[in-house]
Amino acid sequence: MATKSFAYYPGCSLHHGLAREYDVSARRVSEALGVELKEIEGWTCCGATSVHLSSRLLAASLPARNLDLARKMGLPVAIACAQCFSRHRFAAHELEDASMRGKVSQALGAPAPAGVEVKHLLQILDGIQIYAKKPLDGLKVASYYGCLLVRPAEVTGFGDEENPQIMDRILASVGAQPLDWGLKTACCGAGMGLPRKDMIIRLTGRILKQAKAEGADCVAVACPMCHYNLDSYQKAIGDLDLPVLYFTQLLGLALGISPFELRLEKHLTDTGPLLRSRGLA
Amino acid sequence: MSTQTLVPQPRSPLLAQVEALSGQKVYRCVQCAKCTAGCPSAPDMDFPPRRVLRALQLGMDKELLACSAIWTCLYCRTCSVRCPMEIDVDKVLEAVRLIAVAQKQPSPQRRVQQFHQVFLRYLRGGRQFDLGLGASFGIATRRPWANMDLFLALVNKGRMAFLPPKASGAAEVRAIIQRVKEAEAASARSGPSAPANKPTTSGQAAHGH
Repeated sequence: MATKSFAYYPGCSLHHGLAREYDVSARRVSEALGVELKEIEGWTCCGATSVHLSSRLLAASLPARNLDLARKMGLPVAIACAQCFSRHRFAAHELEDASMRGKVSQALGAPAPAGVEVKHLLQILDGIQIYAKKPLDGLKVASYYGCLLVRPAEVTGFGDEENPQIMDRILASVGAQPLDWGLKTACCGAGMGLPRKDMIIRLTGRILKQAKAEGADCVAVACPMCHYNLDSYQKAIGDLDLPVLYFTQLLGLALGISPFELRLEKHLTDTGPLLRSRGLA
Repeated sequence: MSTQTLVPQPRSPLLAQVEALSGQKVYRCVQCAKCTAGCPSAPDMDFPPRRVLRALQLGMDKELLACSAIWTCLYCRTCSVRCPMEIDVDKVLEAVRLIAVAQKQPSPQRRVQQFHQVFLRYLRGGRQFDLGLGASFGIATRRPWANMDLFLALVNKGRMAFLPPKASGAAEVRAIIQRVKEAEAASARSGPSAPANKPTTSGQAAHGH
């Protein structure tokens, strides 16, 4: 199988935070599909929303540092976290502007990189032929994209901002039945979990109830923040018991990788009943 | 949340600052309120998006810089995608917030502000540390036990790292933060285009860094 290589930016949540299972499954699935993820040595935090909403220059400079490390590796950047993807993609976009590049260069104390390509793992896996050893025959999946992957499309390159298709397409290629539903890109409340839990419960409650009403067996996500919000508050919303999996975990199952290797036991909403009903556990 | 009454004010500097920073033309807004209709935060806002635009047109600078909406906005950009006048409404709210932050305006959403402040503090370590962030937020807000149930559930699942991450680039990140601060302070001193250093309508002197 032809190997494609990328400079991999895991980001804090995947590397050592709450989304370890996303990192593990992303690496495992990429390897199985001939996509090589070489971790960027010495990468640092993208700054996330907190920096984006406090300083525009810092918000461009922090990802620019990582982009420069990738430039030295001579590889395009691969990111699985939607937040990190958005911040790096925005920075790359802003660095196309000469005056911004000048300011960022000053902040970095070195010339800011230009023209470094940033791709989300979904964009990398889209179009790769996947041979499913254990097809997800008819598994009803509500693909949930959230905000940061899709908006604004001219920066993220995810196409339709209200009805994106890329995750649906990839999951359908391994036999899942993606639902046509209305809250694919509704906001889950992002990083408000600590300061405004009430907002998260209101927003995720609406999304999860809608997915369940449409007949979803599970929700698929591509963002640690979306996962945390949709997975962690289900008891507070009212015993929804709707498993929320990373799309990489679903792909992994289809590729015949064991649920344990994919860390499916790490979610707060139990995935056991779903796996047993599919004969996977 | 009950919404604010809209009252026209004498011409004020915020509108020009916001337009310069956001690149958006606030007077293009025709007040159709599609932004507010699609806004996930609207029920939690004193100024839902349509009202932010109208209040800017009316010069309600003081109220906007102290408003709750710029802190409960999730910056999900649904408003911008749906605006028939093609205004990036989120950039307008973002600009008001950046100006409020630069002026060190106290936030009526104190916990939201504290969360971001704690996040920025941990950024200095080069990589974010969930446990440290959560604990420091609990201490800052004097509600250390508020999220204990979730914390214990995550510990139980082995998802909570107890040791702070190592980041070889931490010193470099601190240097970048420092240089950005200096650059922003310099541009605030010099340029009329810089929003951070203009006096507000409340008469409060802007902070130099």
